[in-house]
Amino acid sequence: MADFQYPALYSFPPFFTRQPNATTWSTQQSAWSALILAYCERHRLFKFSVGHELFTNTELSRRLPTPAAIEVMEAMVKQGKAEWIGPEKQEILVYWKTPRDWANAVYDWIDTTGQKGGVLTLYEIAWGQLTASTEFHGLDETVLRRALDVLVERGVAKIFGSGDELGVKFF
Amino acid sequence: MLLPIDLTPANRPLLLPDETLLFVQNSVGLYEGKNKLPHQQNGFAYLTTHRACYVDNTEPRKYSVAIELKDVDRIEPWAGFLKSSPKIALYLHPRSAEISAPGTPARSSTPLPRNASPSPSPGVGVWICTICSMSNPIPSNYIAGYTSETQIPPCLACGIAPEASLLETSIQQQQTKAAEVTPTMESGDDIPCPVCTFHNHKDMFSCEICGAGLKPSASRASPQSRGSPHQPSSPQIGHGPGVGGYGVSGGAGGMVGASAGIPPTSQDPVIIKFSFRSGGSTSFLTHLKSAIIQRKWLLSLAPPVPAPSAPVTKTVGIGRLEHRGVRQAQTNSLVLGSAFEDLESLRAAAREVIALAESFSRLTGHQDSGVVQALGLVSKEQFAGSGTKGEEGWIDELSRQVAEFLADDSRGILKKEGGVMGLVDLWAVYNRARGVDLVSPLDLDKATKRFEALRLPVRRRVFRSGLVVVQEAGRTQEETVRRIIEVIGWDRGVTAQEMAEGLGWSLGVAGEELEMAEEVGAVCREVGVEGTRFWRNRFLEEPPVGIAGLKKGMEAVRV
Repeated sequence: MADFQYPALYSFPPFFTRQPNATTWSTQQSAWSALILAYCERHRLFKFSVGHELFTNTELSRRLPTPAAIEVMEAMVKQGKAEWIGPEKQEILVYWKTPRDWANAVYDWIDTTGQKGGVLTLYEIAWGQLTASTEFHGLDETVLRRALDVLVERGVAKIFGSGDELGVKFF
Repeated sequence: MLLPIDLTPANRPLLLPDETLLFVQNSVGLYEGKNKLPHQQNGFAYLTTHRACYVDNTEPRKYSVAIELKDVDRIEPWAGFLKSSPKIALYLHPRSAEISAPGTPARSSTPLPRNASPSPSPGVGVWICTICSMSNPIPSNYIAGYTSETQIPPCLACGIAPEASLLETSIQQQQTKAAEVTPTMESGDDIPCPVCTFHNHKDMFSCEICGAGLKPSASRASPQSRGSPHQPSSPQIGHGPGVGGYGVSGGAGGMVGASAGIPPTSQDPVIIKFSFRSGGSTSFLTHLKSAIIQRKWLLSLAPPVPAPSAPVTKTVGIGRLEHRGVRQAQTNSLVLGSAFEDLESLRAAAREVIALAESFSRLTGHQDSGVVQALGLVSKEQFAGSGTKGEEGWIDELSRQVAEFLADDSRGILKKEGGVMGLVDLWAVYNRARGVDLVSPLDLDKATKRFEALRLPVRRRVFRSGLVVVQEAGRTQEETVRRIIEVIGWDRGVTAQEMAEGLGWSLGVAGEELEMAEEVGAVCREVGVEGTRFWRNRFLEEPPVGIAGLKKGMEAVRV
């Protein structure tokens, strides 16, 4: 993986303190949110936890306190850029692309490869050899489910099966 | 008579050298003669050893005036009655009234002898109130037929305004009465009886003792000449209590007869009245009386007291130094010895004693004692009464004085503190400067609350945490923020301690100001193990970095 270009604020010590001023904090928060999204996209991360190393700047020996980190993630969830995994709020699904974007990408691929009417397992979509060249190769299973749910809602796909043996049929 | 005065930044009269403040009273109005002066109706009266000053509340720079006590001929208290406030009338020498007339040259340096400056009666007569039969003076500016009824002052006792016709008839009556009465008052014109030599009254036609017929005296022969301007005699007009007992003499007396009905002008004495609407007239009067008796203004002209001349010795070296030391010690003991004999002499020698005290304190290394002398303390005792009004006056005055103390450039109290000072610090410094008659924290607190209302050059400010400070009035939040940012710089975070050192503030003030700057978004904080540091707010100062910006940042190398 190529080196990640951290924003200038990442070397600004107050970035790792939760600012009491509301205006400053909202800017700080969106800067953090943008940083997390960019970082995850760069590293193709779909899950991001509170204890992630991104919150720690070893050069400055500063660390964003966990409550502030949770606050940042909570804000991301509210903006639809992430989703909590589990009720304990320790980890999020990061939507650097929204489920709708993924759904479009999957459906485009189905369309262009003429697989309408065919059946694919979720594993095939995410990790199959056919999708190796697509951008959604390696997509997190949960994110893929969210994307397929979008397609189901549109009425162009149907999910069946149970447990790990989930299949999807496209129309 | 009414001279404009210089004011300090805190709108108090600027005292002359050697002048000391005796008394201050709020809610005072001025009258000239019988008439209210329109712009001088609500202000402070400052009585000093040299002057009686009026400082207007609304337009202090424009309407503040003073009367020099040396121009005051007499003073007279007027008791208040019903709605009429107690007043103190200052009768000025006519000389000064003349000088105050426009276009006249500066006053002559040779003062007139006291008996040569008569104080003629203000009006041309009296009118008798139809309600309470009080004899009131007819106002000096009354012109029959011109002055409207509304301008005639009401009766001094009952406050009922007279009718214009009443005044006119009074004037006419008095003219005739003056003509009739005048001869009776003349003395030294007795008619000796040709028979028994008894000196009969000049109006008698026959001797009171022997009944022999009397020859008419020469002075009775020409009644037409009576009351003419050449008449050397002094007609005595029986006036009412308002002006009672003042002889009309000399040229002025002549004018009564010659030009009755026409208001006298330059020869008329000027009466300035201070009207005390919230009390204090008694104390003012007491202080005024003693000031006029003491005549401190003469002191500045007096030659300095010759110092006892020590024999000049021609010693040199250590011997001379020792000799000088001994002589100094002698002078000091002389000053202290005479000063502490009794309270009066202590007051008289106050200046020397203070100077001595300051020289002692310089020797012991204290720096801030210089303030004692220049302070011109106000004390609570200068305010009459313990009622609310007296209290208000005292607080206002204290407020002015504290403002002056803070803003004084020569002392630079506020400057030294970086323009902001905690109330507690102020209390300590101010009381230390006063040295005597200390101010209670409560009074100081109240006084600082009055800064804004009195439009003084300092302001009181309460921080969110409840810390109370005083600061320069011109000091704005923007200015403070600008200075904070200057100190911080771009690449550095500062602690409150460093900020306090950088701007000369106290630690508490620095912390509060930083929090204020944080609140407006100028700085942001970094809480680390070594405490809180404040940085320039790069969150807001740089364009906010969105996802797009970050993405761009990943592709293009950004500094």
